[in-house]
Order: sequence, then structure tokens, then C-alpha cells
Amino acid sequence: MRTQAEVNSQYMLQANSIAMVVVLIMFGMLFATLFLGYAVYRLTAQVWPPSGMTALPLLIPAVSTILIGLSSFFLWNFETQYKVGAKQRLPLFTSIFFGLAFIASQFVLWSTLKSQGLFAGSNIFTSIIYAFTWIHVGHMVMAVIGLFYLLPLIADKAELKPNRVINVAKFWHFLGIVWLLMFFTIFVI
Amino acid sequence: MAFYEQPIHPKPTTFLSKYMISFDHKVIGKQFLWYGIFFLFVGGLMALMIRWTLAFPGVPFPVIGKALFPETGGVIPPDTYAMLFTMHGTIMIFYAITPILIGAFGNFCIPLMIGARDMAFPLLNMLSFWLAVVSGVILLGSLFTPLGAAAGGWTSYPTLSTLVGSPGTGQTLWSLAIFILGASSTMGAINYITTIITLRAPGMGYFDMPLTIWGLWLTAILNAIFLPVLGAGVLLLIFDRVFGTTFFLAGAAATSGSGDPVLFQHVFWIFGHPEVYILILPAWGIVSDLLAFFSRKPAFGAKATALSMTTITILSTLVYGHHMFTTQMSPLLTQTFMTLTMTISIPSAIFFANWLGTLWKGSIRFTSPMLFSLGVVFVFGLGGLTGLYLGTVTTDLYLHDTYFVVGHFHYTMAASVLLGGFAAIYFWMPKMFGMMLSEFWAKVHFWITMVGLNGVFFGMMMVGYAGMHRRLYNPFVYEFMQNMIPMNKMITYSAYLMGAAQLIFVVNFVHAIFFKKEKASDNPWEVGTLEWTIPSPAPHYNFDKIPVVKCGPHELGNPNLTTGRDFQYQTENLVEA
Repeated sequence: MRTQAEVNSQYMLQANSIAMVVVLIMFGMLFATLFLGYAVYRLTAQVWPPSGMTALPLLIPAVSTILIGLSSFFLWNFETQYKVGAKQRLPLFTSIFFGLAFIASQFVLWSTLKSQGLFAGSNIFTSIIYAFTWIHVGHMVMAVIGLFYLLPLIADKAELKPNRVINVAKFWHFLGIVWLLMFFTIFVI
Repeated sequence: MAFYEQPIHPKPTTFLSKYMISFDHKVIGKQFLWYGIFFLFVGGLMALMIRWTLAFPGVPFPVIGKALFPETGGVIPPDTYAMLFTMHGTIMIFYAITPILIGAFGNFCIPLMIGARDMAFPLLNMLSFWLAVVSGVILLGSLFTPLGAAAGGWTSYPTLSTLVGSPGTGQTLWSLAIFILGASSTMGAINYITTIITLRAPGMGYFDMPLTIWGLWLTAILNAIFLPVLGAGVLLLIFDRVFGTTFFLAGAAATSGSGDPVLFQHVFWIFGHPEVYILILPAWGIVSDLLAFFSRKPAFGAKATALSMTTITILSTLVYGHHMFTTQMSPLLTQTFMTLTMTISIPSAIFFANWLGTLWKGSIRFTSPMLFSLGVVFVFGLGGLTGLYLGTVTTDLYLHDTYFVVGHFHYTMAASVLLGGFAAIYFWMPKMFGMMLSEFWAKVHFWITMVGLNGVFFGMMMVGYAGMHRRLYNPFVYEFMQNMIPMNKMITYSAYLMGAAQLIFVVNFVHAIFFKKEKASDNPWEVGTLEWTIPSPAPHYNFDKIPVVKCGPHELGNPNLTTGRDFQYQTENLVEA
């Protein structure tokens, strides 16, 4: 028979997991709507990219992809070890570092686009690039705050709260996947 | 067997912790109720102004007209008229109906009816309310901007809603307010879904839940899935207006590449059609329960009702295109959407028949909640049936954008939900505030409301069928519409009658809360769901001991009962022969 403490802990795990699934569905729907709109614009356009546009910079988005991938990898590493009780600080710090570097890379991307004369209002494609990256970065900022929220957990005397780590990581990896889709659909193909 | 028990939170003692930043679901429910009633008043006043203009074009609005529109001598100007119908629709749908049915009764009823002490995430719940307040302040603030509030209709179709159609900040603030309110509602949805899945009392299976909870649960699921779709749409609209992107611009306005104004319509209605069910599902659930309670017999086909509501929820996600038949949609698509729309009739007919089955041979008690529930059966029946003409391509092409549409959706979304909301207020008043509302005045309120309401909405369908277009400031400049002036006057008089009837409710409500001395008993309606097993008003911890559920929510009129009651509490074993 389970003790009351075990029941309570099991409940918290279940409630938080369900809530996180709902959150991911919600954000998934938001980004799915954006991608749906993009698909409509692209599939119905007579010329793509819109005439007069030079090639998009590929290097910076590729670097961004590597940065967010590394960040996700180190967070996964931290999460795996934390779940078995090891509070490894380095993977979490590294993940935060790469996460912040990703956000910085997006500022570089916007600056590069502007230097090429591509502004948010230039045409529908640039509108898509700017709006999608703005919205994604907005979510990344929230997710970075989530990573900082994990910092107290790595103190030596801190109570183990694997549930919190799992949920923040789910959101972080989700944003990584969204970026990957953006990278391939907007910049590569 | 051990089961999870939420901790009993300390009783709030200060005004701030008790009424302002309370984590208690009951207080948050009441906060949403006051919020919704306030906006119901604002939106209702706007409706009266719209009706005045349509009945008496060019005549100053009485009493407050000169103060509100001094530059025109009290006459409502055309641009203000557009703002009024835009803000009326927005306020009634998002800021009145949603907070009352979902915010107030969702928060109040869910933990009490499933045997929990609070929501799964009380802090998130509180943030949800205060975010709604921020949104409401922004929306009302937009009324005072230099070029006025949004005027592109509650659907805010581009190009009416882009900078081309709506210069100024009013439309931008509208979009921002809707985005924030969407965030607030999705926070609530997370809480409702999680709470219902994880905090049901031991023994309470999904089909042991009251149908009120089914309605609220399905609503929360729709909210979680489809509000982000609207969120994405209004976010892009904000970008178009503020940062100069070109998502919804077309033609000359988009100088290179091209946006697509119709895309916003798709995004809006992918959200918007489920939104109809988001609003109506809680009322359906409440009415399904109340019909059984006051017929003194089990809900007929309760499982089928729950499954029908679930089917309607699923189908509601597939039919949005019927709002766009006139946008040059491919005939293949229009026929697909029409067929899907018609299939909703099947589960709707099942649960409507179940309502009638519940009433059949019942020992009906015509209490005020029952009267309002019967009102819902009538108006929803009428609203649902008239929807068939709008879901059918051939008839919709004629009726689209006429007052027939306005009458139809007011019957389904306004009348049904308003009457359902009143049924809920009269029914749960003793558990919320510890007081009963006057039954006599409640019944007076009901009958006058019913007369006024049908005069307004049936009249709208008649003038719409005769060809009167919606959104026209003065339709009577067209000769063929001039013979509709008397009918429009009748609609307006009915609207004022309906408005006046609400004063009866306000006086009854305020008197009961602030001046009445006689306390309500713990179970004045003699029903067996969990909230009626505890004192009135519900104590701050709800349940001292988490109840164990042993039977369904509608165990009424069991001939084997020997307790002197004609109902069983859900905590009692089902009495069998």
C-alpha cells in the first residue's frame, strides 16, 4: 500500500504532466497556425521568393540551429542525470549559455536582413521571416526564464524536483523543434 | 486506499487576500461573475444604442445622448455606430458570456461538483482573472483614443481592421486586448482540464460527473486547442498595424509580394466556430442537469448526452467553412462544409431528444432555475433549427449578412447562454452567497425577459428574411427597406423591455447579497450532487473530508427510497429493490 507522501508525489507528477501536455498543444496550435498561413502564402504565390528579393543569409540561421541544438543536448544531459539524483551544474549552465547565444544570433539575423534592405514590410516573405522569428524569440525568452527557474534546484541542499526539470525541458525541446521546422521551411527550401 | 488530498489553505483574513488576490476558486468565480455582469451592462447599453439608431435614425439618444455625443446634439454618429456594434459583439462574447459561464461557473462549480478543495493550480487561476482585468481595461481604454475604438465588426476582418480600414490605435488595442484575454482563458483551460482529470473525488468516474462538468470540460478542451489559433491571427494583425508587415494587406496596399485578407477569415473561423460551442457547451451542461433536478427523475440518456456533446465538440472543429460560403470558395469545399455542418444535427438531435425525455412524465417543479432552463430548450431549439438555413449553401447565399444571421446567432449564442447563465445564478446563488434570490421576482424577470428576447431576436430574423442587411447605419435610405421601419421599432421596444427586465434581476441580486437577512439552507433545491452536501455558502476549504462517490448525479425519484427524500446524495449507495 502506498503512503500518503507517495500518493501526493504521484499526483503532482500526473497533474503537472497533464498541464504540460495541454500547454504544448496550445503552443503547438499557435505555431501550426503560423505554418499553415505560410503554406497558403507560399503555395498560392506565382513567384517565390517574391520578385526583387536577394538570397536569404543561410549562415546565421544555420549557426542558430547549431546553438539551439547544443542547448537542447546539454539540457537533456542535465535532465537525465538529475532524474537519477545527480545535480550536475555544468550541463545546465552550458544549456543556458547556448540558449542565450541563440537569442543573440537572432538579433544578428535581423540586423543582417536589414543591412540587405529586407525589412518587415518589404514583402510577404520578409513579413513571415520577421514575424515568425519574433514570436519564436518571445517564447525563447519565456523558456530561458524557465531555465533560470531551475537554478535553485542545483544547490547542494535543494530538494530534488525532477518534475520541474522535465517540464521546463519539454518546453525547451519543443521550441527547438519549432526552430528546426522554421529553419528548413523558411531558409533552406 | 490512500488518495490525494489537497491541503486546506489557511482562511484569508484581510480584505486584500479575501477579495482581491484570492487563490480560492470560489472567490475567483465570484470575481468573474461581477466582471461579467459589469460588461453585460456595458454591452447591453451599447445594444440599446444600436437599436435606438435603427428604430429612430437621426433622433437624439434619450437621457444620456447629449452627454455622450454633444457634437451631434445627442444623435449617434455613423462612425460611432460602427464602433458600437463592434464593441457590443466583442464585449458580449468575450467579456460577458465567457466570464460568466466559463469564468464564474467554471471556477465555482468544478471543484465543488467533483469533490475537490480547489483547482489544481490556484495561483494560475488567480493570474487568469487579473489578466482578464488587464484585457478589459485595455478594451475599455480604447473607447477613449482619439479616433475611437475598433469599428471593423467583432470578427475584425481585414481590410476593415488593418490600418487602411481602421487608422488610429483603437483597433490595435482591440487586438491586444483579445490576445491577452485569450492568454487568460487558456490559463483557465489548463486548470479546468487538469483539475477534472486529476482531482475527481474517489469513486467518481467520468460518467458519474454532473453534465455541467462535462460541458465545462469540453469547453476547456476547445479553448486550449483553438484560442491559440485566434492568438496567432490577432498577433499577425498587430504586426501589420504596428510593424508594417503585410500579412493581411492586398492589392495596391501591399506594394510587392501580396498578403491575403481572406486568410484572416479562415484563421478567425477556425477558432470562431468552435467558439460558438465554447460558449454554449457550459449552458447545455447546466441545463441538462437542471432539467433532471427539477423533473425529479434521472437525466434521460445521460451517457448519450455526454457523448453527444463530445461528438459535437469534435465536429465543431470541422465546419468553420460555412461562415465563408460567400468568399468565392470552391463548390467542392462549400458542399463538404455543408455536409459536415449538417452532420452536427445528429448528435444535437440526440441530446435535444434526451432533454425532452428527461421532462417526459417528470414531477416538474417550476422553480426559477427550471423556468430559465426550459427557456434555453425553447430558444436553443429555435436558434439551432434556423442554423440549418445558414449551413445550407443555397439559402445562405441569400441570407448571408442579413439580420437573419444576427437573429440566429443571438438565439443560439446570446439567448441560450444568457438564459443558461441566469438559470445557473438562480440555482447556485445559495451555495455562492448563502442567500436565495426572491423566487417571485425571478419568475417576473424570466417572463418579461422571454417576451422581450423573442421580440428582439425573432423580429431580427423576420427583417433579415425580408432582406435587411446588417451593419447599415440607416437602412431606411433604401426604399425597399422603408416598410421595415415599424418592425424595427417593435424590435427596439422589445429590446428596451428586455433591458428593463434585467433591472429586476439587479435589484433582486443586490438585495439578496447585501440586505437580505434570511440565510439559505444547505440544500434548498433538494438535489444530490456533491456541492449540496456541504454548508451554504460553501466553506473556504469546501470539503472537510474528501467525499467518496457511490452513485451518479441524477438519482432522483427512485421508488425504492425509504429515507423520506426523493433524491440521493452522490455519497450514498444506490438504493435498489
